[in-house]
Amino acid sequence: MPRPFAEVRERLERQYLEVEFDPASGLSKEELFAELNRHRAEHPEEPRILTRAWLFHLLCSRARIAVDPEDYFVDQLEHHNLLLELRNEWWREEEGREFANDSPPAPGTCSSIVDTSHTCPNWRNLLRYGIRGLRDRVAGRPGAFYEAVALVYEGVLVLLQRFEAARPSPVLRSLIAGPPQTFHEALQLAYLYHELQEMEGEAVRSMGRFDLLYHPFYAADLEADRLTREQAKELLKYFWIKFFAKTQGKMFGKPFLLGPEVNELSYLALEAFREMHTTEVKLHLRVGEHTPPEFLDAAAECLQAGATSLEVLNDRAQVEMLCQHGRSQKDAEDYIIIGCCEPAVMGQEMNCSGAAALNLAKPVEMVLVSGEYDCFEDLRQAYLETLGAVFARCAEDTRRRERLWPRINPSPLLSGTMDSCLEQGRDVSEAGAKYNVTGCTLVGLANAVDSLAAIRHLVYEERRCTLAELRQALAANWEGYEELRLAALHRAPKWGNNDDRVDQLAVQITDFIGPRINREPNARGGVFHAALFGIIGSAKFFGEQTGALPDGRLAGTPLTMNTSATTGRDRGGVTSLINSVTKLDLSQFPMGTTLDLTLHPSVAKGEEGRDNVGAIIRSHFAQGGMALQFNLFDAGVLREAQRNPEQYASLQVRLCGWNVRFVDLALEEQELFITRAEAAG
Amino acid sequence: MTGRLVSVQRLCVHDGPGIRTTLFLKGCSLACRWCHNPETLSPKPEIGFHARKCVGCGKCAEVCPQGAHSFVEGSHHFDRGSCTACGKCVAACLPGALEYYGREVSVEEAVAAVLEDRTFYATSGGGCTVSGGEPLLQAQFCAELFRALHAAGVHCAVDTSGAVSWQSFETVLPYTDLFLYDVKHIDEQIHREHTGSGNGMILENLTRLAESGVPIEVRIPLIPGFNANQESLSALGKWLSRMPNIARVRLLPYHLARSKYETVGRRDTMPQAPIPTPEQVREAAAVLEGWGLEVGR
Repeated sequence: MPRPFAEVRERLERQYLEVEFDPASGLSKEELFAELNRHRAEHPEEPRILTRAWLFHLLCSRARIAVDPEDYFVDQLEHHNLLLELRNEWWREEEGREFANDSPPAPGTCSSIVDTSHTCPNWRNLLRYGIRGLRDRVAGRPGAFYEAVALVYEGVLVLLQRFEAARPSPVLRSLIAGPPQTFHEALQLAYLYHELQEMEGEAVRSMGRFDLLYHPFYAADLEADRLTREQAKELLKYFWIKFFAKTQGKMFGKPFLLGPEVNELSYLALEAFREMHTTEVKLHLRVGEHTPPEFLDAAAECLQAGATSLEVLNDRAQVEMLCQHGRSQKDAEDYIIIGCCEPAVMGQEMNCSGAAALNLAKPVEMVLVSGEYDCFEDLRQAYLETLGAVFARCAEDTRRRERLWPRINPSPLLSGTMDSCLEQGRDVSEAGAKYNVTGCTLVGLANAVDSLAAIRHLVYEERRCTLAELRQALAANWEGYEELRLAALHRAPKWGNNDDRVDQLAVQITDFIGPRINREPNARGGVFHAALFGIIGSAKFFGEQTGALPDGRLAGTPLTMNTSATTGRDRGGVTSLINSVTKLDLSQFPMGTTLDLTLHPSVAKGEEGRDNVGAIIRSHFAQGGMALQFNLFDAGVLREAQRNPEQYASLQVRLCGWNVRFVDLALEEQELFITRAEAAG
Repeated sequence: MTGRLVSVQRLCVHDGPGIRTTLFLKGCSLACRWCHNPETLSPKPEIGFHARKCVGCGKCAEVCPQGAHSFVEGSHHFDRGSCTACGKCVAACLPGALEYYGREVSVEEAVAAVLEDRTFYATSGGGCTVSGGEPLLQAQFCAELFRALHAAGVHCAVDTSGAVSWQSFETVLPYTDLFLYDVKHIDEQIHREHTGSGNGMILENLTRLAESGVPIEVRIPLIPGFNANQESLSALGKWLSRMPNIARVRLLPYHLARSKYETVGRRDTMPQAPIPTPEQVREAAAVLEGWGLEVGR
């Protein structure tokens, strides 16, 4: 019998680190690998989707398992990432062939990948049909796709039976027989499915509308006296801690969505979240006109307690935006957030939000190198044209990659949850989902805007230097040009201060590139969708390949993310930052956008502070903002945490789309947060 | 009409209800030893120097018509006696080590700056607060600012020491929704010793103001060695308990701002006392509550 969560939390956090799989329970890695090779040799012409399904079934039925009698759930399968290895083999092979004779795009301008990892399965179908039901939906239908789906779900059934044999339980028996009946069964199914989809090769980047999907189970249990509220909270904590245990807090946070209509379970979830204080579950809260103020209060209390791994969404604006960009009203209202802040229709969309990324700052460097401009207007125009050309190249590369997808990572388990895939007999990699869009993320907005503003200020208005001199200063990484750099840093106006002349540059850039991205066809019958949030990886990667910039930034340093100002340059504070950001038409970014706010804890203290947080959220929404996430801390505490990491092990900070523990950050990254905190307080 | 400002601060949550924009006006009629805004004391413009930010480039010395800035062995010296606060050095100081206190701002400019955040006032029940320094030394400016803000539906508050003529209060009264009124000590002599002035006018103005019907929040700075004791607080509480119209009393625990004295070249007068502990603040609040006053935290 599992013990109280609080007593065993530490052990649960390590549950995947010390697993002992019983050798008698299945095959070793070498044996599994040998089985796979034999199968491939015997079936050289087999469609890849069937080879993957066969391997999936092999792992479910023959790989070693482990069960923990002190856990509420079972989920341990020693699969050795064999499906990922197979995918990677095909990936290298296909990309190598496709791009053999290509010269890559100019370094640091853009990137593209096959993004198989921003997915949200159809949780509704999973809970409604169960594993057996999903298998039965395709059983006996002809063709490789249906065969593959039937095979993987058959595999899951076998795995459930193996687990049940190892640890007899009514929960598993019920899931073998059909759809889940209780809250416990629903969570067991969700977690096991999550593990198996990730084993298949597609990261699960949304766990769905949690309060909506799971409340019926919760309510029925309470009604039938099968479960108490406290027991449900325990189950939830055991369930949620797994996401931390899996990654040790080093990943992006597993998104769960709450709202906009709330129920008992919404509040229970916030309570468990606040008590757990974890970075690895991420809550997205849809806040709409009918969301009760108490719910926002409860969310603000999480923030006050330091549980800041949550994002609030402007529900009305998000739904309107999704409708503008091709979703039906009904589907738009059923959106979730995939990954960081990408809205998508739950279980009906493959949004591939991480497929393409553009470095907005790089074209500044390119236009400076390439020419002389009589006036700022000419330079600005050249910047936009260069940016447009960079995107055209990026889009073409991305489409070529997308066409490889069916030969790299067909996904029968994920496809098997989606109605549209089953109706058409098509895998998600072949545009089987109802909505198939492709994300293009814009990185370094503040760098681009501040750099253009600095050029205008230094060269064309104040005439502190010529364009040629500025070019030299940047080529020297500002060395020997300290005075000019100080002028660039402290005299040139900056994005995020509600300074209209600078902010209009941001408006011009986003008005230009947003619509251009959104009408560009992808290779799956859809279009690209622009995103205005940064991924820490691309901010770093693009930053390394971007030289010194006119805004005073040094070569190689990370670019700015999201719609944020350059760190420490938003001297006007939070309200001015919000006023700047909401001048942008954010509905041009259907792949999502968010704003990070750093508040001094005194602003959020006590009941008045809770109201302040609510007022900031409502003001942001009233002005057209889409999403907000928060950091609450003062610089002194962060310095202290830097000196005594062990005493501040649980201090969380927001890192673009997700939370991390402050003490896990590199020194340089810690300094950025301290700079922000100093500016806030 | 113009006002002389030290700064405009946004997202202020301690200067009245909700989220507010606070204008810090220059010049004060008192000289409290614990003042944490010494840059607002003098009514005249002045130059602040943040030594930490100085890179020793010497630009200030190059542009100063008075020769007030000089460098001795690379270290910056500022002769405030000869400084006329023309501001040329501030314009030349790229790292921002020099700062201008006392910018002249038109009413229109101030109104526009405040209205930038009107959405935040609307959602939070906030507004605009004039503070300082003693804002009512520039009562006409405050009145015109408030008149325009009132027309735009913005809640207006005055944060005052009370040490100004009653006429100044009358000037702003029609457009003021809330007074944040500092009362520091009930004993005339002690008050004079620590603030440079007696408290007669302060108490008299508060008595008259309490009859005006405009809500008043009384603020008591809690200063060790001055009023942070049972006797002083009790006397204050007793006096205040007779006033009508006082919405609440708020304690402002002493906090340190020594570096700011250095910035404006003033002798540091802040008490050499530790800041009050939360327990001491609770005790102080209890004394006031004993007189039937509502104490905000």
